[in-house]
Amino acid sequence: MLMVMLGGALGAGARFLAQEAGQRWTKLPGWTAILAANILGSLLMGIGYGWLHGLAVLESHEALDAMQRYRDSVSINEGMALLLAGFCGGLTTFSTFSLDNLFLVYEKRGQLACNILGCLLLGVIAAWAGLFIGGQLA
Amino acid sequence: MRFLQLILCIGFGGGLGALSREGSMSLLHGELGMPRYIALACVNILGCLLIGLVFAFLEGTLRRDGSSRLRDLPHSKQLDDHPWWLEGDSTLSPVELLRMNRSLQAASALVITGFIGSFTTFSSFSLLTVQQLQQGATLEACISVVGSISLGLAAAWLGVHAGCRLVRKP
Repeated sequence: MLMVMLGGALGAGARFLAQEAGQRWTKLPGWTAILAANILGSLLMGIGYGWLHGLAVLESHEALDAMQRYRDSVSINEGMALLLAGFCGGLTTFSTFSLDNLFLVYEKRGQLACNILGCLLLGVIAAWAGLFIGGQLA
Repeated sequence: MRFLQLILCIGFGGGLGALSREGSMSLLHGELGMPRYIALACVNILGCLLIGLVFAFLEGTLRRDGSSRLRDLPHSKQLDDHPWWLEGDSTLSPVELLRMNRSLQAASALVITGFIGSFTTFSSFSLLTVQQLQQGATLEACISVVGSISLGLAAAWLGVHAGCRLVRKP
């Protein structure tokens, strides 16, 4: 529980910083910061999930006399998974994405298409690439 | 100093949001036995509804210097007979405006950016989609993607509309 809260707090703070930095130092419209955060979070989620999954598969082949060590590593991995779910879930957001889309419906249709398609395609590609990288790491 | 306060507000809201996301995911997925992608879509759509509602409510009550994004939208017709920006409400003193602006910043940092932004998630969504595509469940992936995007947009529209109504009512 604490791990999820910690991860969520860190992720939300990082998303806010990304938004602020995007506003201050670039002239891109506001939704691109959320787009970037979503894609980055998807990539991280893929990497972390693939890595943890690879570790769990590796460890299940180990000898049974190391049961205690195995349990320890499993509980560490569970903590890592929760931290990952909290952080990536806090970094990426669906609600602000929808609200931005709603405003773009009324303001700029072309950017709306860019936002939805870009976020979906790049997010899925990033998660897939992350799974691949994570599997290679483990 | 102001920045630090905002970051703390966002961190607090974000922690609560991530916790309630995990809680509702385990309720919907674990207790009620929904498939994972439907539970995630429910959480995301609920968050979209909430963000529309809270955004319109905060903008309509606290942002009175005319810089609200709602001003160009058809939704602001809901607010027309209740003057909510400075041209219609010139009785407010600058101090009052500054105070409102401060509380708007803090409230939107705590609730919108922190809590609701962390409650909904895009990373699990794209990871689930990749897994569905890898397992060959293309139909379910299509349902999840199209349903989440369109229902989320509709829920945000509904939320903004309802929020404007809520503000207008005295």
